[in-house]
Amino acid sequence: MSSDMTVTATGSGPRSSTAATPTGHETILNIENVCKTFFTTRRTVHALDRVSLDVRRGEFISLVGVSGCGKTTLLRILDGLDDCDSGTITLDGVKLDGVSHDMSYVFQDINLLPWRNVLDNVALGLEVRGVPKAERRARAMEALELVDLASVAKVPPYTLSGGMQQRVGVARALAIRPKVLLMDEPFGQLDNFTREALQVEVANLWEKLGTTIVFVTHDVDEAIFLSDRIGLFQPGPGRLTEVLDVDLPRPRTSYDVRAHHRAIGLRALITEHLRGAKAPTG
Amino acid sequence: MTTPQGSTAGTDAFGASVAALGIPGLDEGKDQLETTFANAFETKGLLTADMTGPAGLRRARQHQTAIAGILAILAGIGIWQATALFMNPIFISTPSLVAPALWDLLVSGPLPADFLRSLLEMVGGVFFATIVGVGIGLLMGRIRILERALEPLVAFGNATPSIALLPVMEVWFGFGETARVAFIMTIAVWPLIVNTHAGVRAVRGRLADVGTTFGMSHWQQIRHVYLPGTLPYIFVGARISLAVGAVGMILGGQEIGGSGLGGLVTVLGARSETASLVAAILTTTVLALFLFWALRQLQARVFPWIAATSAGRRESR
Amino acid sequence: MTVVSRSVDDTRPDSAPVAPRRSPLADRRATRIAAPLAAVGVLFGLWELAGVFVTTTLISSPPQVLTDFVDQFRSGPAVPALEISLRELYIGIGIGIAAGVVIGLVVGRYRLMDAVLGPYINAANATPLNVLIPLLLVWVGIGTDARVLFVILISFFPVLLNTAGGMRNVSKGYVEVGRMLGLNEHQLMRKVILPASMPYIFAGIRVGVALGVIGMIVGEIEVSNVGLGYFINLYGNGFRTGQLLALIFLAALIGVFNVLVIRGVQARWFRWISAAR
Repeated sequence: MSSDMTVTATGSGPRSSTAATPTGHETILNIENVCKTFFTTRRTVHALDRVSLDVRRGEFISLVGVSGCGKTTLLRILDGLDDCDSGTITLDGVKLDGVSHDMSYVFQDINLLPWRNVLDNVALGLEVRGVPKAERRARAMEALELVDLASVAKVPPYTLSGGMQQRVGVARALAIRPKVLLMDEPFGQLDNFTREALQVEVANLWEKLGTTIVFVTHDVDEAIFLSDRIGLFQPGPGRLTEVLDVDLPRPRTSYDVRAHHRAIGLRALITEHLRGAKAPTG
Repeated sequence: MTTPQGSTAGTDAFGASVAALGIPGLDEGKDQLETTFANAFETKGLLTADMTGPAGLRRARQHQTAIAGILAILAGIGIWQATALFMNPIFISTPSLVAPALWDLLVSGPLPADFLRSLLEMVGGVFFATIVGVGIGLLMGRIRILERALEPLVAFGNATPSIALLPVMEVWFGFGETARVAFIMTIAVWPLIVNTHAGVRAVRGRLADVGTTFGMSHWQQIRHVYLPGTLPYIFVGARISLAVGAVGMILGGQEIGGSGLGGLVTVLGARSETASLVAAILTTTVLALFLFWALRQLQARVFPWIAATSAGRRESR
Repeated sequence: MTVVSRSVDDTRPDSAPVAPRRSPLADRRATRIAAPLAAVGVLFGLWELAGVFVTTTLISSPPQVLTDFVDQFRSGPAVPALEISLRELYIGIGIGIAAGVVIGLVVGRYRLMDAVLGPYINAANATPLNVLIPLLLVWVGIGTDARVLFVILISFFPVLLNTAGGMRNVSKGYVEVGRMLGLNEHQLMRKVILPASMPYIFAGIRVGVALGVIGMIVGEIEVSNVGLGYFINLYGNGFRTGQLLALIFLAALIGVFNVLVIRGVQARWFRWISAAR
């Protein structure tokens, strides 16, 4: 699956994408009017209010917003970990109901199972899909090689550093060859240096595999570095208010993110947009 | 609604002392205490799923559980009565026999006196055990050298089945109340020492710097940082002490001059008066449940935030 | 004009060499060995001293206890008593733990079972179980059955509660990983919830075993003329304090042994339980 990436024509600034996809962009994931409300003993939270989005095949799209604005909730609903109160989600034309076998999720807490070694952790998804043992091991090793961790296949996961553990988490998600990879602030728990290294790794993986990636983060620079498009979330109630194109050529460097004129413009636009957001209300 | 029982926490102090001797030991002490701690406050064992959904739905589920429980008890009583059809009542008796027997014991029998005596000995024993246990635990936690010195001893004492000291109590204190209270105290002191000590260590690790930063004096630190911080652990220890103390209460009643509920059940059992025996056993259960309830009430008054935190932990996503 | 650059280190008088900091008293290796030994020494010393004021019949003395301990094995009843006691103990806790885990899994898995059995389990758990002994005697008479039954009962409940509670407390993250990868209910139970419950199950087993030892002794104090508990009671009532304490020490050793075994099992097959925290 090759990535559907084109170098866009120069414009005066970042462009806004509409839900109607221009030619050349095929929609793989259609999110339509998703709503979700949470009840706790203290208050009722309107996490998502009629969120709609078309995710294009092969693109890297980030969802950005302050904490508590619903982006993680949306991601979880996409994967089927939570239910939405109303709205539909369609993957490749098939309406989703519960956990989908064609999507996988990378958690912020990583959550590697401590009673299995690294290889068995990565192979778990394949076990479920009835893949025979030998093939399971081969594919799991393949996934580990993608993240450059084939050498630690047999060790217990808790002996690894945070960054390595998350790479295993990514391998685990990729082993089942998902159509869409969902990543929920995967580097949030890691230090800056590890985070930057892993951002590069994820960017390279994406180039190599061409998997569609939906990436949640509150780090604007991270989003600019990695994505084709950035969806902006506002809280209170959670809404997707804007989707911006990232018109930076690839491969990108951290210098580009900081100094390229388009990046600067984009960041200013995003910051202004987000700053205009009200504080999350009940 | 089931929750895990508090651990005796003693086997981990052993681990701590073994480690102190330089032998590599697993950190099971901390694990077990965390497990105990997390579970001892009885967050009602609700599945996380029970905490989401509109408030009305949640209450409905809680009601469901309560109703199921009540129905189960009623059904149990019914089944119990039905056993009379094929079983000799000498084995487990029947509700229709136990109820009047209970009445007799209460009204004209020794039950109220025995109940009261056992209750008082229990409360007395656990009270003294608390003072001594918390005291030693605090000292061990605050004075490092004392900690090093006493840890293996405490571990060993905790591992020893203190029940075996029953005859010793008789020898030292005679055949009456003093011996029984002393016996309960001996049994109940260990969980309090171990858990209090663990609590102080936990506070030492996390909150102690707070006190120093604000320039608190030694005693101020104890009052404002250590005591509140250690209280949850102390209550865990108290809960365990109640459990083991109750065993000592019954045993003491049986062996050191037949008195209290312990003596009563022995006598009734010897006479094979099963109905009265079952009545006495149920009374003991009620006594024990009452003591645990009282402890929970005290706990809720002293620091309501613990239960809220555990429940809160389940709510937050 | 020369510029003298000052560095941070220049805060002490130039002539004073820097002394190496000594680690606090409590942390030094020597203290960790000496302190407990000192405490034991003080204890034994006080013990011996007390022997001056109180007749040693009542409290014995350290050397006497040691002699008695050896005697109990050589010419005393320790060996046959142990045989009986240990057999009853391990049969009892074996059944009690097995039953506790099985029923704990059922109660943990099915909320209905928890709701239905809950009141009974909580009531039984609160009750000091030795109050049931007279009832056990009515059922099976005086003898080894009653004692084994008692050990089973006393070790059963903590295992049950910790197993069920452990299943409830399985980290949500693990369950979500399982669901995300497509595990169905049954697979989730087998591959995620059960392994994740193991730490709690082990905690329950530790408690169950410790209580089992107590149950064994209590059972023998009350119900028999054989076994460790019986002799403990006998010596106690006969003011044979030295021998009594020797047997108590033996009982403690059994407890320690059990802890080491459990710890060994955990280290061998479940190393991740402690390491993963």
